[in-house]
Amino acid sequence: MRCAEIREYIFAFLDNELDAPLSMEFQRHVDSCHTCAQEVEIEWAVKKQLVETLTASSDADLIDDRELCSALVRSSLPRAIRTLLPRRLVAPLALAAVIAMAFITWFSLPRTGQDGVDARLASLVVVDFQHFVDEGSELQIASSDRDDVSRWLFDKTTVAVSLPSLSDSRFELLGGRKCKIDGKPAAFAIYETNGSPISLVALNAADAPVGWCDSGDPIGGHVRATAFDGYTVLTLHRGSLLFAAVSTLPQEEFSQLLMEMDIAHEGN
Amino acid sequence: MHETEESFLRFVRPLQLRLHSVGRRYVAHTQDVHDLLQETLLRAWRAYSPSLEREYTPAWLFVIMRNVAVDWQRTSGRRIKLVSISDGELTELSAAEPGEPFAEFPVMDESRFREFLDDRIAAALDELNPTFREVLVLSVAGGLSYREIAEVLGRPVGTVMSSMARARRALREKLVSFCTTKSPVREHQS
Repeated sequence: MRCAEIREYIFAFLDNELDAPLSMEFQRHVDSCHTCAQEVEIEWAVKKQLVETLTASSDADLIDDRELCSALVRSSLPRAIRTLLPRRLVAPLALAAVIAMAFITWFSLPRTGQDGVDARLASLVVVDFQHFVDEGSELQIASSDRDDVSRWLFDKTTVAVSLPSLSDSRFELLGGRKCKIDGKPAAFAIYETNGSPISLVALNAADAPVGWCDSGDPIGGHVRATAFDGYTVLTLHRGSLLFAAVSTLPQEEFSQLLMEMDIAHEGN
Repeated sequence: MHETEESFLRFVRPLQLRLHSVGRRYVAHTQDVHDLLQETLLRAWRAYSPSLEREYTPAWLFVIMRNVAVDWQRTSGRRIKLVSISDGELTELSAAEPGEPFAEFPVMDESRFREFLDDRIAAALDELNPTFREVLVLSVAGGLSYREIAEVLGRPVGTVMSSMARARRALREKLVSFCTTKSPVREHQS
């Protein structure tokens, strides 16, 4: 290797980017050439000083886990939704329980049989939730008026859903959009508390494929729960509608809160 | 803490210091570094899937940080020290050919030389062309390989290697130019 080649490869050598044969050849020349050895020494000193200068950040400059987690949770909502929200201080568990309790007391019809969550139903509603929360799909109606949103959803999807009214003012209905579950029209509504979103999907039970109601753990009343891909899915089959609520709350907490809460609300 | 969040934090936690070191060089005001870092991590979070945890690389985060800086440069009032130039422009930037002799420092002893570098290297870096500076910063502060830098900049690896050599030569020329305006020569200890 000649001195001109040393000058060509010197920086890659110092950055450990030369392959082994070339690196050995480089080192062999430097070991026998005083001028090139000096150049390597100079460039090594320059690089060492660069490292010291550029990596002077300390741990105090960084974002600690707690601050980052808080930001991650807040950022889980699309920007369009965040602009509607004042900050909430209440644990998101309460909202999940409110929705579940609304299901139970909202419909007074007798049970039609053991219903459960089929994994496919859970996967479809979770994917829908993810598309909305993670990819920022827009709501088609942004409103906290349950009657307005219910009317809009019925008009667009033919799903005769009447969204529950929530007596607790800490939680807010954000709006809704039409969607499709297994190719069938469905109504999608989103709620929020303390930066945590919860979706509620309703579809006509007649559109639900056979076999969608054969799994899931009963947690009280007519509600069943399934954990899917890190999400909790609550379902309820009432009358002509099949409901599925999705959140990131752990199933145990979701179920526990459901049992403990006693929420009064208006019926249909 | 949710499993997804834990997985994400496990990935980003060891890289934050490197991201911060690079981010400091992207923004004109130090108070913007925290925002740049946070926006980078939030964008990464939104795109993060724990099932793909093993496929995420440090370069992915640096790509996101660079994109945030580019967006800020285009749309916000924040001053960004970043310029994207084409490969053609890159080859025209001043620097000697790869094999040519380096600019020569005046003779000085080792401790004096280190003192000189400590004193002047930040200024020399700031006077470099932004593209040269970025390549150096990604390598030295970001700890990225040439291949990872190529991924971040969207350039071929060969271009990165060439840019790195040109950047280091330009830095040296700048340092040498500082010497000619400075102190007397001292004997070099061999």
